[in-house]
Amino acid sequence: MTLFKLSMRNARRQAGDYLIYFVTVIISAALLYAFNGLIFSDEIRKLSSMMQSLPVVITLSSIVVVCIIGWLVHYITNFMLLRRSRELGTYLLTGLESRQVSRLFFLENLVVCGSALIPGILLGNLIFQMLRAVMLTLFQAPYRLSLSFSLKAVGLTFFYFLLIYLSAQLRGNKRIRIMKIYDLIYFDRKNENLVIQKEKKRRRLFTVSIVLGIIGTLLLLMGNLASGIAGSACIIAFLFGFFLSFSSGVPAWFEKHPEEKYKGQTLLIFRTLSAKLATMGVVMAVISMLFTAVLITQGAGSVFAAIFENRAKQIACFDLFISTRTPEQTLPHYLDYIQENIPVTDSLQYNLYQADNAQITEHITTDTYPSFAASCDTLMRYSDYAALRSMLGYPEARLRPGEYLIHCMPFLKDQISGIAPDITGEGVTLKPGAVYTEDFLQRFWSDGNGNGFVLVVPDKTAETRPAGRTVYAAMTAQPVSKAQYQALNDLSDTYCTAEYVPLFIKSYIIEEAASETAIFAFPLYYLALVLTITAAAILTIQQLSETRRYRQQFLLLAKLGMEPREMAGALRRQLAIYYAMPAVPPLLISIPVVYSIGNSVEPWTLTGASSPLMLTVSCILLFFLLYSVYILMAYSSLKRNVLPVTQRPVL
Amino acid sequence: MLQIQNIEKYYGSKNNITKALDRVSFDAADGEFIAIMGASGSGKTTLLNCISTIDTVSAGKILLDGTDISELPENKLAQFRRERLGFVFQDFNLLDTLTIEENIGLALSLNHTDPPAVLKQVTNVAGMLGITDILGKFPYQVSGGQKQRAACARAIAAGQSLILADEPTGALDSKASKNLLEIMTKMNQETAATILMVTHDAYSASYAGRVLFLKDGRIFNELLRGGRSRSVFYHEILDVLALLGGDISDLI
Amino acid sequence: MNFTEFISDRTGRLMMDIVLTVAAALFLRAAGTQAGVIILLLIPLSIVFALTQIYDFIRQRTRLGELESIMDGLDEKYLFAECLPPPCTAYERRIFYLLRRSCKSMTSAVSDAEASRREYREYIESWVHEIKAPITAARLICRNTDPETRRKLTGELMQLEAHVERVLYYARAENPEKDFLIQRISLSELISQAIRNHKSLLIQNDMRIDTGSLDYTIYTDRKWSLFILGQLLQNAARYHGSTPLITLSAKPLGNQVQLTVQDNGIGIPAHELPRIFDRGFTGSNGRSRGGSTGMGLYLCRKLSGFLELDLRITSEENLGTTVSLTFPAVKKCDL
Repeated sequence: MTLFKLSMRNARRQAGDYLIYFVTVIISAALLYAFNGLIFSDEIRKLSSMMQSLPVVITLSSIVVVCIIGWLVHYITNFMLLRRSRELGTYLLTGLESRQVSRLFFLENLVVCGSALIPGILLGNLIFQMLRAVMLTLFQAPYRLSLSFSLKAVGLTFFYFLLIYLSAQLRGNKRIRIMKIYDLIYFDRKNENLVIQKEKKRRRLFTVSIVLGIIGTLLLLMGNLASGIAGSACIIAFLFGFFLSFSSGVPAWFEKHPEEKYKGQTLLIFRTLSAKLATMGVVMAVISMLFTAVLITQGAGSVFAAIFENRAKQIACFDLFISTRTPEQTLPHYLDYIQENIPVTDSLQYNLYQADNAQITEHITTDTYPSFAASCDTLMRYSDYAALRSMLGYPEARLRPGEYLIHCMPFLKDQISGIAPDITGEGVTLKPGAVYTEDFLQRFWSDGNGNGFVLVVPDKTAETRPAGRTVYAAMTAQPVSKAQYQALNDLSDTYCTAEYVPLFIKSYIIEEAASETAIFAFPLYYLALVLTITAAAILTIQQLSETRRYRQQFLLLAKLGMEPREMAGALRRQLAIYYAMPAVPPLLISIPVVYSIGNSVEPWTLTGASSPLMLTVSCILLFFLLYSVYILMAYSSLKRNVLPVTQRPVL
Repeated sequence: MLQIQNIEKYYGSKNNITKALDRVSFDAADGEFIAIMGASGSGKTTLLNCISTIDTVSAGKILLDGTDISELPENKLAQFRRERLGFVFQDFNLLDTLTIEENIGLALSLNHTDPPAVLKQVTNVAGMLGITDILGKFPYQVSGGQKQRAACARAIAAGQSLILADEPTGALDSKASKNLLEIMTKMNQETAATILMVTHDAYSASYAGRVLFLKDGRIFNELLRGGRSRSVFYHEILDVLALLGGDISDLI
Repeated sequence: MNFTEFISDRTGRLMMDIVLTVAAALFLRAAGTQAGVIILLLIPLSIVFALTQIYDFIRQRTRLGELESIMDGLDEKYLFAECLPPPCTAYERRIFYLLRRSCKSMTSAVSDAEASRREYREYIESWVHEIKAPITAARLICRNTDPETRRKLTGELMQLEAHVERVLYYARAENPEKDFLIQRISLSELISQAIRNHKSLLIQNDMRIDTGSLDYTIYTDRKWSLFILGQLLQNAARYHGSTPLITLSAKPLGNQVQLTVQDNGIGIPAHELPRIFDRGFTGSNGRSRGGSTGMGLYLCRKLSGFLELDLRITSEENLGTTVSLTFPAVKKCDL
C-alpha cells in the first residue's frame, strides 16, 4: 500500500466531511476564473475607454480574494488536521515518520484541490458568460452566446490556486511536524475540559460590549472620516467582546433565573450554544466582522450602481442634445457636422425662455438642492414641448386654455404642485395645470430643459419673454458612434471657448454610466460574494464537525423520551440561533450605514425602485440567498446524520 | 408488570446474520430487582435494548402492563420512555455541556413539567441519593461514582417505574460500586421501581432478588434469592458461573 | 403518511429549487429582462411545481394507505406479500419483489415447522398406541408370578403407564380443543376415581387420605381433570414426609368450587416456588427424590389454563404443600 493509495482512500472516505470544503473551493475557483476572464476579454475592454482600467481594479480585488480564500483553505486544513488527530497519531504510532505523514496530507490536499479546480473552471466559464451578459446589457450592446475558454484566464486561475495551496500546505506541514503522539491520540479527552469559565470579568464584558456596539454604530452614522474610524474600532471591540463573553454572560443570567432554563427546549439550546461559543468565540467574531464588511460592501456596490444607472436615465433621453447661450457662434459648427455625418430621424431647435420671476426656483432651492446659475424660472413654448414629447415617444399632453403645464423631475412633483403660482403676462392669467414627470433631460445644473423643471406656456406668452438658451435636440437613426462623439467633442474644444456648451449624447452617457458601474460595483460585489461564501463555509464546517457529538446527544435524548418532532424542532432552533448570531449584529450595523450612504447623494437620484430603502432591502435579500444555501446544506446534513433513525412510523 | 414473551432478535449486515436472542421469555413483577448475567455476546445488552425499545424485536412480544410496546409508533414510545423508563448506562451518558442539576432536570422538562416543580423534584431526588452538593458542577468535574448517582437520580426523577441499568458498576472502583449498588437497592425499596440490571459481575448481581443467566441468546438458568442473605446468594451465583467454566466473568 | 413527513423527505430538494429559481430571476433582471416578464414566467412555473408536489403527495398517501390497510386486515402477517396489489412504478416493483422473496422464505419455514411438528405428534400417538400392547402383556405375565415379584413388577408397570400417559397428554396438549368435552361431573366421584387410578402408588407410600365434604357438582372435562388430579396425588406421594397424609376438601366460591389438596410432605423451598411450573424444572427435591421429569406441573398448568381452572400452589419447607384448584360450578351459559 503506497502512501498515495492510502491518501486516495482516505480522501474518498472523508468525502462527506470534505464536501462543503470541496464545494466552496469549486465556487471560489469559478469566481476567480470568471473575473479573470473579464480581465482578458478584449470584447469587454473595448466597450469604452474607461474600461481600460477594469483589469487593474479586478486584479486588485482578485488579490484580496486570493488572500481570503487562502485563509479559508488554511483554516479548513488546520481544522481537518485537528479532527483527524487520532488517525494521525495512529500513523505516527505505527512508525510513519512525520515527514511521511505530511507528505500524505500534501497528496490528499492536492487531490481535493486539484479535483476542485476542473469543475471550478467549468462552472467559472458559465459564470463568466453570465457576467458578460450582464455587462453587455449595461452597455446596451448585443449579446451572442459563446462558451469558449480563455487560456490566459485559466492560467492565471491555476497560478492563484497554486499560491493558495502552497501557502496552506507550508503552514500545515509545520503543524504536523510539531505534533506529539500523546496529544494526538488523547485529543478528544482534552475536549472534556470545555472552557466554560465563570469569571465575573467576562460577565461585565458582555454588557460593556453591547454598549460599545451601539456607540460604534452611531459613530459610523455620523459620516465623517474620524468618527468612521472610531466607530469601526468600537464595532470591532463589540463583536469580539460579545462573542467571547457570551458563554459566560448567558449562563450567569440563567443562574439568576434558574426556572427559565426548563421552559421548552431553552436548556439544550443555550447550553449547546454556550459550549460551542466557548471554543469558537474568536472565529465567530471574525465571521461577524466579515459579514459586516460584506453587507457594507454589497450595499455600497448596489448604491453606486443605482446612482450611476439613475443619473444616466435622467439625462439619456435624446440621442443628441446641445444647449447654448450663444447659438449664432456655436450651433452652426455642430449642425454642419451633424448634417454631414449623422443621419437624423427627427430634430428640433427651440428656445428656453426666462420667466419674469424666480418664484418656483426660490421655493425649491435649499441648502441641499442648490440651483446653479438659475436666476429665474424657465418657460417653454407649448408647440416645442409637444414636438419634443412626440420625438421621445411620450403620449400627447394637451394644453387647455388659461392653463400652463409643468414638466419636472419626479421627486419635485409634490413640492411644485403645491406652490405653483399663476403666471400673468400680456393681460392673461394662466393657472397651473397638469404636471408631467417623464425623463426630459432635466438637472439642477440648468444645462438641460430648465433647472429641474420647466413651465410650458402658450406660444404667444413664451415669445414675449427673452430667450435664455437655445437647444438643439435630435434623435438619430443609429446610436452616435464613438468617433462621431469624439468629433463633436473636438468641435466643442475648438469653437466653444467662451462658454461651456453642454453636450448630451445618449450613447455616450450610457457607456459612461455602464463603465462606472462595471468598475465600481462589480468588484465590490465580487468581494462581497467571496466573503459571504467564506464566512458561511466556515460556520457550516464548524457546525458539521459537531455531528458525532450531536448524534450522541440526540440518541440520549431519544432514550430519555424526547418526541421526534421536538428533537427536529430543537435542532432547527439551535441551527437558526447559531447562524443568526453572527449575522444579526452585522445587519443591525450595516442597515443604517447603507441607508445613510444611499441618503447622502442627491436625493433626486435614488427614487422609486432604487430608493435607499429598497436598495438596503435588496442587499439584505441577496445576502440571505447565499447564506441560506449554506444553512440548508448544514440542516439537511445534520438532519440525516444526527437525528436518531426511527424504524417505526411516527404517527 | 413486564412480560417478555418469546422474543427473538436477528442482527444482519451485508454478509452475515447473527441471532442475538433466541426465544427469551420471562416475567418481572412490580418492584423486583432482577440481574441479567451473561458473557459478552450472550445477548444481554441486546435484551436490554429491546426492552427499552431502542431496538425492534424480530419476533415475540414485550408487554408492559398489558400493552405491547414492541409495536408502538415512535411518538407513543417517546411518551412511554419519558414516563416509565429510566436508564443507567455504563459510561454515564450525562450530557457534558449541562450541569448535574440540569441533567437530572432534563428528564423532567421533557415531560413538560412546570419549571418550579422541576427544580423542587431535582432537589428531592438529589437529596435522596446524596448528591446535593454537586448539583452545580459539570460532569467532568465530579467522580465516576457521583456521575452514576446522578444518572440514577435522573432515572427516577420523573417517577419512572422501570429502571434499566447496563453494567452500571462497569467503570467504577469497588468502593464506588458498593455505594452505587446500595443506592440502587434503596431506590428499589423506596420507590418500588422495578430494576433490570445487566452485569457480568457476580458481586453486583448478588444485590438483586433474582438472577437470569443468558447464554447464546437463551435463558439457561435462573436463581431466586428468596429470604437468603446476600453472601449466600453470592456464592450460589458463583457456583453457577463456575459450572459454566467461568467464562461469564471475563471482563468486557 | 402526512404532509409534514412528505415534505421533510424532500426539503433539501425543494429549497434548492427555490433558491435556484430566485437566483435565476435575479440574473434575468440583471441581464435586462423586465421585472414584469420575469414575474409572468415565475407564476406558471411555481403553479406547476406546486401542483406536481401535491399530486405526488396524494398518490403516495393513497398508496401507503392501501398497503397499510391490507396489513391491518391480515391475521397471518407473513402472508403480506401474497396480498400485495400489483406495483405501480418500477421502484415499487423492485421493492415488492424483495418483500415477496422474504415472505416466501418465511412461509416455507412456517409450513415446514408445522409439518414436522405434526409428524412428530403423529409418531408419538402411534408409539403410545403400540406400547400399550407390551405393557398389557407384561401385566398378564405378572399374574403368573409369585406375589412378591408381582407386587414389585406391577409397581414398575404402573410407573411405565404413568409416563406413557403423560407423553400422550403432552403431545395432545398443543391442540387440546380436539379432545375436549365439558360435562357435568360430581366432584366426589371424580376424586374417588383419581384415587382409585393411583391406588397402588398411594398404598406403596403408606399414604393416608382424608376427605372432607366433596359433595359438589362441577363442569369440566373428565379426562383432563383426572390427569391433573392424578399428577397432584403422585407429587404428594413422591414427596411425602414421615407420616404421610393427604387432605382433600372443597368449598364453594361464588360460581365456582375450590378444591384444596393438602399434604404434609417435605414441601418446596421458597426460592424454587415461583419456578415449579416451568417446563422441565425439577428443583432440589426432584433431584433428591429422583424420578422427576419436571413435566408434570408444567402440563397441569397448561391444561388448567385451557380448562380455565385456577391452579395455585403454596408450600412451606418441611411442613407441606397445599394445592388449590378452582372449578366452574355453574354452566357457562346459565350465567
